[in-house]
Amino acid sequence: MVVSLSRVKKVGLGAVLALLLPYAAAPAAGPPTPRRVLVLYAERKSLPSMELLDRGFQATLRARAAEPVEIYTEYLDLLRFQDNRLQQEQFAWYLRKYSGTHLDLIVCFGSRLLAPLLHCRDRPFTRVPILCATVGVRQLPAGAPNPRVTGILNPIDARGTLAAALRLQPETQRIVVVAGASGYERAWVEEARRDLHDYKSRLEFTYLVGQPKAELLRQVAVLPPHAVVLYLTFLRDGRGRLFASGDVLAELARVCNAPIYGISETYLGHGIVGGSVLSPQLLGARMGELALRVLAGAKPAAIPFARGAGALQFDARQLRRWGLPEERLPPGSTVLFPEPSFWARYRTQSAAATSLFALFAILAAMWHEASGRRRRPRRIRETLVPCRELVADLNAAVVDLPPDRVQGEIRSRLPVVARLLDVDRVELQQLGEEPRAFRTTHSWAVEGIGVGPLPIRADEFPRIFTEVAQGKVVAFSRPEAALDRRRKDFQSCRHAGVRSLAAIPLTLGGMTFGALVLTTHRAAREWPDELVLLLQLLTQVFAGALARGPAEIPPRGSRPPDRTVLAALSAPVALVDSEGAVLWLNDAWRRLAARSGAPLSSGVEEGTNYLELCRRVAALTKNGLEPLPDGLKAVLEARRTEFSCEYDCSTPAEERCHELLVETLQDDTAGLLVLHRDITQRKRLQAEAHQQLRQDADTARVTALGVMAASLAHELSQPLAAILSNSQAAQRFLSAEAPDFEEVRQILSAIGNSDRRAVEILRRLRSLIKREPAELRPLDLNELIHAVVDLAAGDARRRKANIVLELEPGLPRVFGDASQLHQVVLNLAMNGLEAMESGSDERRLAIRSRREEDGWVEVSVRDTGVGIPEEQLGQIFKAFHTTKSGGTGIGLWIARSFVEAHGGRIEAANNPEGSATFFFRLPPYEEETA
Amino acid sequence: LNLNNPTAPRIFVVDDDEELRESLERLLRSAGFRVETFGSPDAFLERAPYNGPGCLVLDVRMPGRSGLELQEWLASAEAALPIVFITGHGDIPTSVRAMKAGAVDFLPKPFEDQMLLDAVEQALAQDAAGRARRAELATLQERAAALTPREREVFCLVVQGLLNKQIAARLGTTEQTIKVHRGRVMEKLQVASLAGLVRLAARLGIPNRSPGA
Repeated sequence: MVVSLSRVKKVGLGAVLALLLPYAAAPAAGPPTPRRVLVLYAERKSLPSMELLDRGFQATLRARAAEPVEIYTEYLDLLRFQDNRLQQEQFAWYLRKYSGTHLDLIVCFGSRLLAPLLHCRDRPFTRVPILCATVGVRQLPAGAPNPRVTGILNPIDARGTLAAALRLQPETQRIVVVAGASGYERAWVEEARRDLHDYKSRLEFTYLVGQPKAELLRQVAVLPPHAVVLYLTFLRDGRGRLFASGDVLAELARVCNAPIYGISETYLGHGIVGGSVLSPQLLGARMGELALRVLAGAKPAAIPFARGAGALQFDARQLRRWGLPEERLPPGSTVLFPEPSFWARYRTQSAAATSLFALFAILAAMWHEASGRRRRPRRIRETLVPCRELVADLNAAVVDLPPDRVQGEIRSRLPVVARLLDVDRVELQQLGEEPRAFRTTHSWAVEGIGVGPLPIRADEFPRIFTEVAQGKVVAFSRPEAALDRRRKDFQSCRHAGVRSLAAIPLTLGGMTFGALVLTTHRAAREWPDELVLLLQLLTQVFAGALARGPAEIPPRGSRPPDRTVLAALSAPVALVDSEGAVLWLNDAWRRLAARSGAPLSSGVEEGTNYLELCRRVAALTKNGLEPLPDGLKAVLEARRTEFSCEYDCSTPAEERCHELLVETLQDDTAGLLVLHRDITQRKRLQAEAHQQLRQDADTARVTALGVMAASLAHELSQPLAAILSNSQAAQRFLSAEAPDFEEVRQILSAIGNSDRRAVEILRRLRSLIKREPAELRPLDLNELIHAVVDLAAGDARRRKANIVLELEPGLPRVFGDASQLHQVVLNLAMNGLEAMESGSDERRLAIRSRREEDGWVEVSVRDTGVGIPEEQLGQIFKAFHTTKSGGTGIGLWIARSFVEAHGGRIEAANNPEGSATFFFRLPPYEEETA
Repeated sequence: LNLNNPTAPRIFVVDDDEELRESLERLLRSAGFRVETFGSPDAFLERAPYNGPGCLVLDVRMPGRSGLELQEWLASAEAALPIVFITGHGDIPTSVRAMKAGAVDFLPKPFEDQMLLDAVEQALAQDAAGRARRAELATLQERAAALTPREREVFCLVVQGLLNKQIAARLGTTEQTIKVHRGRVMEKLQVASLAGLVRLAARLGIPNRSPGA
């Protein structure tokens, strides 16, 4: 049967259906297997929300239907094809298409679909139940209520989204609502307008609806302060161009100067902070459930329209981007896209940070040598050591500390920074909920200066804030000299009694997210360039740590741990009662116990006293467990809430390292949770990081020397140029007919002055390189050698070399700086190990110490490597001389500098069999007695 | 060179390093120049304007205004003194920038006396040439200023290549009148030929082609 479209138009849809589908009028008789469901979607399939609706619906229906279900799916694409007549024809066509198909249910997503469907009500489809879901609006679809129809009203949750936004940003004053121009989008805007009615008196609303896209982008880039954007949808702009909401959102997010909140799950990941979002997939699933009920025989008339709800979901990256603290999220929120691990995400940055640490250490040392020594001679010893420690420890924090401990770690370093740099206040400030203000997140101040935290806010320090926010360093002393007295910055500084201030931007990936702010209040201090450079390096370190730190950890111990959860853990876990008796073990524990080399888990059963076992094991072994019994006891007696220690549990086959964690269960039982964690991999990474650090230190030293050399070259060129010009002037004056001897005398005196100046510059250079011993005390070289060997042992193992010690007992002590001599021995040892890299079969490094006849102490390091070419023997201790391909040529030079600074001698010689021996000799500290 | 001659060229040394400044002063003085020294570009700018012959010997890096900035500053003024740069860094980008901006030479410290003296001589020669050029231009401008408005019009049209007849038509007068004007123009400008007139117009910056032609 063929019916022309013109006839359809004339007769009307209902009548045509009657003609087309006569048999469908018959009651659905017999068991119709399979069940057939027609699903109509208002929009095109390629919209993400349609796809998710379908996925949710089909998955639910298929998974849980009692009988086989056939699903027929149609997409009407109403947004792009808005012609009403066209829609009717489309329906007619669909109905014809399904004329031979017995349908059990029609499901439509989109309220506009219901009315045309119901047009057919008095004819063949009269008994087919219909489910309808509204998308974005709460009104019953046109045609409902109707006994054949039920469904879900699924309005956008503008209210819930705004409430969440206000929780995150309580200072918000203006809401900018963004939506496209199509009818369906305008319906959403009306929905939002009604939904947000209660806020109208409190907040200022701007509706950017149906604007051309370019205009929209221009406007959101320059929103006033305290604004947030509520992004509804953007499918069609004012010029009739069609878009995908997600694409427009992504563009918007790139230019918008305020956080964007949204109402659809599909917007997460495209630039919204989050909101009470509709989940198309969830709606699909709920419709699936409804479909199941109706297919099972429930009457739509008996099921009232249900109401959908948004789910609170947020994007961790956006929260961080806008500095919105997760603790302000409404209860029940889900945070998506949590930060990947530090190593995954910041591998490059952290590698850079590692070398920055090294550079920092070197520059810090140089800076103190160069300027600190003269200005504050007392401080050198106090500052150099903590400075190194600061770097080393913060490095450890970045590399290895769990995120929740980074904050504490940073906090504990601030006093050190303050003392080191001689400032009164140190603060780390970060962008907070307010857009143009930092808030102090970590601070420390000298006692008694009587000044509280000094967050740099745009309203109090407009100039400083702007500069820092743009990534520039602000450093000045004496605000009255540096700042305009009429300006707010100056007044704020004076109000806070600031005598000098340095604010260094905290940046990561090119984005400024805070500042390190140092102030003095008792006296002004200068910020020389070298110092600012140091501060920038330090700030980098903090930035790296902060980037890693602020992840919130779930509250611990608020509930007793669920044993089903513990049982499923891959980590070995035991529950221990307050007396130390084991109550319960999980399977992972039993598996660990069955392995060899697991002293703290094998032999443990329910009822075993774990404290006793730990005492026994600690007494027997020497693998790092000494503090365990006391630590465990302290937790049992509630003196501590947690304790952890690392222990070696290597088997002959492999090296392994575990960590034992003991934690109080904060429930009534007062018991403990004991957990073993395999940290072998972590240790390996740590070791590699340290290795990297050592190499970087070498590189950094050379780089820093290069910079220093360039600057010294300039300084030297001045007096040298003066000397040359003076001497040539003198020659000219002397060749005159009547030489002016007074002139020449003055010239000669000037030459002398310039020369002395050049010498002074050279002296400074020398003192930088060949440092004089800083901490002199009597030292036992044998002890020192042992310490070095501990350090080098790992390296030696990797290189398959043996280190053999032949140390003379009762060696006279020497007087010197431990860290320098330490480095001398280490450099010689590493040099030897590297020399054996290629060729030699037996790799053996012999370190010998002995007392010479004249009472001096000699240390020799003998390798089995390839030896030193004879012609180079005299050169190897010179700077930048190297025989290794990757060498910097600076290790041996430093060794010589240090030995000579101790009044000693260093030499190298080839052994008869071709390898090399390095010797150094130092004078004894004790007077010759025997 | 006569040191007492007020028109003898003067060398201005600007360097923040006192020792070097003094040594340069002595060196230049030993070679017979009149020398004035300044510790900074600003100190030099505070000096009363100098219109006589001379040149600048300028350090590149100084606290405050740098030598290059002084160069730019001076270049914006008329009758800039030629500059010889001296530097302790000798970095190529800086020297390129300085030379592009018209520096006579760029000497890395320390330098041999002859290098500086040669550069200074060259700068003075450049200055002298510039002064001569400026003086000549001033004379020409003075002559051109003596033209009446109508003569000036005729002058402009003549150098654009228009014939007397065309000029007459354009100015609404007779060819004879134009001939007379033209004769006066050549007389006042002391030029004997049309070619000379065109060259002169070029020196004075008068366009030699009418916009519409």
